[in-house]
Amino acid sequence: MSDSLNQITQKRYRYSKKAKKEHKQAYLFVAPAVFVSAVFIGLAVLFVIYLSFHKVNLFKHTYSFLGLDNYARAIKDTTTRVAFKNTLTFSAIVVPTQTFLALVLASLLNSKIKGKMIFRAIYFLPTLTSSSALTLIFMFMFSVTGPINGFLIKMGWIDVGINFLENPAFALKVIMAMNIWSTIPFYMTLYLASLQDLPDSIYESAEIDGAGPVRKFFSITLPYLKPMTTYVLITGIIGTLQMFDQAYIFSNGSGGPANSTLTVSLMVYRYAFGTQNAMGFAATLAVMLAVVILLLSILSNKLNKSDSWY
Amino acid sequence: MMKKILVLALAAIFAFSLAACAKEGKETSNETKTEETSKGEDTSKVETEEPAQDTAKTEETTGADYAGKTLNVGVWGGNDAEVAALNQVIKDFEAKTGAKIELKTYTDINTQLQADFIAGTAPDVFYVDANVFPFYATLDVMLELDPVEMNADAYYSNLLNAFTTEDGKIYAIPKDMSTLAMYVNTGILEEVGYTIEDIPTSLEEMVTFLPELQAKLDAKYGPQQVTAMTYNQDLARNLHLLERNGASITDADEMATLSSEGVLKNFNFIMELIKTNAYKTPAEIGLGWNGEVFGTGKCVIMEEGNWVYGNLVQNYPDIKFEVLDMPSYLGEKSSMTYTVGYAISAASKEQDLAKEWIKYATGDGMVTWCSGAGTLPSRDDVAKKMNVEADPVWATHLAQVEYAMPWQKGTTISIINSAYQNYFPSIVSGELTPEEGLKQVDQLANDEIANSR
Repeated sequence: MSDSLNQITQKRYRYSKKAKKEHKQAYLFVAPAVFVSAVFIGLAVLFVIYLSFHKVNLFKHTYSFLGLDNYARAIKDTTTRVAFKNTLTFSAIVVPTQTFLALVLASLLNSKIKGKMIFRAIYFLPTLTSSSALTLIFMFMFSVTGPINGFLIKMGWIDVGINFLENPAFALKVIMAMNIWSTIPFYMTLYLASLQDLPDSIYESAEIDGAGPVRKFFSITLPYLKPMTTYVLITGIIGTLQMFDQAYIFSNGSGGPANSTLTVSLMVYRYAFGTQNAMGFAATLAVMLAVVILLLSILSNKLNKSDSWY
Repeated sequence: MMKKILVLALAAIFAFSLAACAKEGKETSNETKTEETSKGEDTSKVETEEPAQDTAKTEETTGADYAGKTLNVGVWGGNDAEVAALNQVIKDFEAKTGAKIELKTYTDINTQLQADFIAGTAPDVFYVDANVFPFYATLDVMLELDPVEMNADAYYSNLLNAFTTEDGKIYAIPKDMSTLAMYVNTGILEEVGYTIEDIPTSLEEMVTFLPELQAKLDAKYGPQQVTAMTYNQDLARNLHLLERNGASITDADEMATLSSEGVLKNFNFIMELIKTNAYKTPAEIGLGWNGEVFGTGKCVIMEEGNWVYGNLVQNYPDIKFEVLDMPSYLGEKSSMTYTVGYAISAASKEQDLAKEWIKYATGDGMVTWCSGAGTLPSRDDVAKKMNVEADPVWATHLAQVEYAMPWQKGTTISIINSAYQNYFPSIVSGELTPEEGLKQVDQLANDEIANSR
């Protein structure tokens, strides 16, 4: 350990004057960006952590230290548990589904089918729509008299429309469907961009070796896309665990029906901007969510790396 | 060497662009400043002329003292008519006083105004909904208003009470109000053989009337096509029923007590209406809100605020309707009233001008505002001046204020209402009995309140 450290320091001393000057210039150029993110992200994060240990009234600038009280309360609180359960369930279903479907769609659109440009454009459309507008459209589609129920009744599968929006068994699933549907195109585009860099020659040589389309997918496409998959998984995990707008619009901010669409972010919002001055408790929940996101991201990164495709 | 020159050049460009940015900012601020001062000069000229012409007009001249001053007013956005009406009030006020009104329009006032107070950038005067007034009152961010100076007696007392703290201090002046009344689609009603006189005046009678009406509607239009009556799963609409007969949804500590005996009894009555299957929410009908359901002819009766009136006339001109008093319950008439007031920020540096604005906007300006925006005045003399009674719909809405309950209940009401909306569907679907459901509501709300304290 100290050996390698020595080597590094020795190496640093061996930089020429010119090189050192260049380093200084580099730092100078990086400085504005570092300064901005230190103020607007770094300080904000530190402040949230500070708040999470306090009972805060930001209006009167009173901060009373509570130690781990907020955390203890959050862990004991049944509603918090429900919110974490909903959020993790949401993520556990949405992330794998959207990653898998995006991958399949991308490899299909990368093949030599006719009109793939048109398909690409059509598939990309949901990403361009704002998620709040999508939520309203989905709420219409899944309403009692909406097209989904109309279809189910016409097919004779049900007699009376199902109230998807007010039934705790369905509400979160509707949001899942919407989220999967609207995020696939974005990830598909990422995969597609990556696939277009993949030289045809690799496929050709595989074909000469007698590989079929399935073998080619698993032995060439998948390993080649692995860095992209890491990115897709991590952004997917972060995005789903921070889900807020859809649940907010869907439940009018209440997290209902029967807490089925209550997510952690929605809870944070309700405590932070409610009428009880609970910014401290909101900060606690936000920190807990951040820790969960961090752990899951590290885990997915590790899992994805440990499989050696190469 | 080449690299060094390049770096220097880049740095120079960078520095220059920064300077340019800064300069631009300065320039624009200078511009507005000169504009303001020139305006100020203009009005001050008028000011010096005026006393010479008419020295007796003391009130006018004190108004003119505000020339060159700017007042920030925080409001939320409204429809075109509301924006136009507010702009007219502002224009008139500016002409009268020479002050300049700077509007700050919030899209989500609850979060943004809180942030503004924390950051110390709150406007001098701002809208405060009666519903959130108790919360702002705990923060000491509002200036106490003198009842004599603000002519407090002129306003409807239940509205003014909504902006009065327990120790009798007034912190806001109601700028307008809306009330709930009962709308009846007389077109459909007559099609199925009823007249407006057949509509019961009490909710108890509705329990038997609604299924009869529903049966006739189903026979005429097909099952479930037209609903007899709509309702909302919202404390903002249900509170006056739930708190009847001395019941209260909160205790002295502002904790939720919806599962208490009195509230449960009243809630069970609402359930009786729901069980008729002729009393539904807009969501159950598959639409957004009562006005849409009513306007598209999907329901016969609804309870709505006066904001729906203009909407119906404008967007659904074919609907024939009449507006009645709210039905009574347990022998008493009641309704809900929604009011918004103007409050002054305690940190404002223009408090005199702010008071002047409130006096104007809730005095002479109220006629302009209410007739333009389609709301009811918050004081009787303005209602008479506007001749509100001339239109039977407005007259009915105005009449409700006599027994209407303002939508306000301590600082915890938003939490309790969320919990209420959260569990209401499960009670209707039968998953939970009313008692179980309301217990869940209490637990959810009280946990959240406890965590917040």
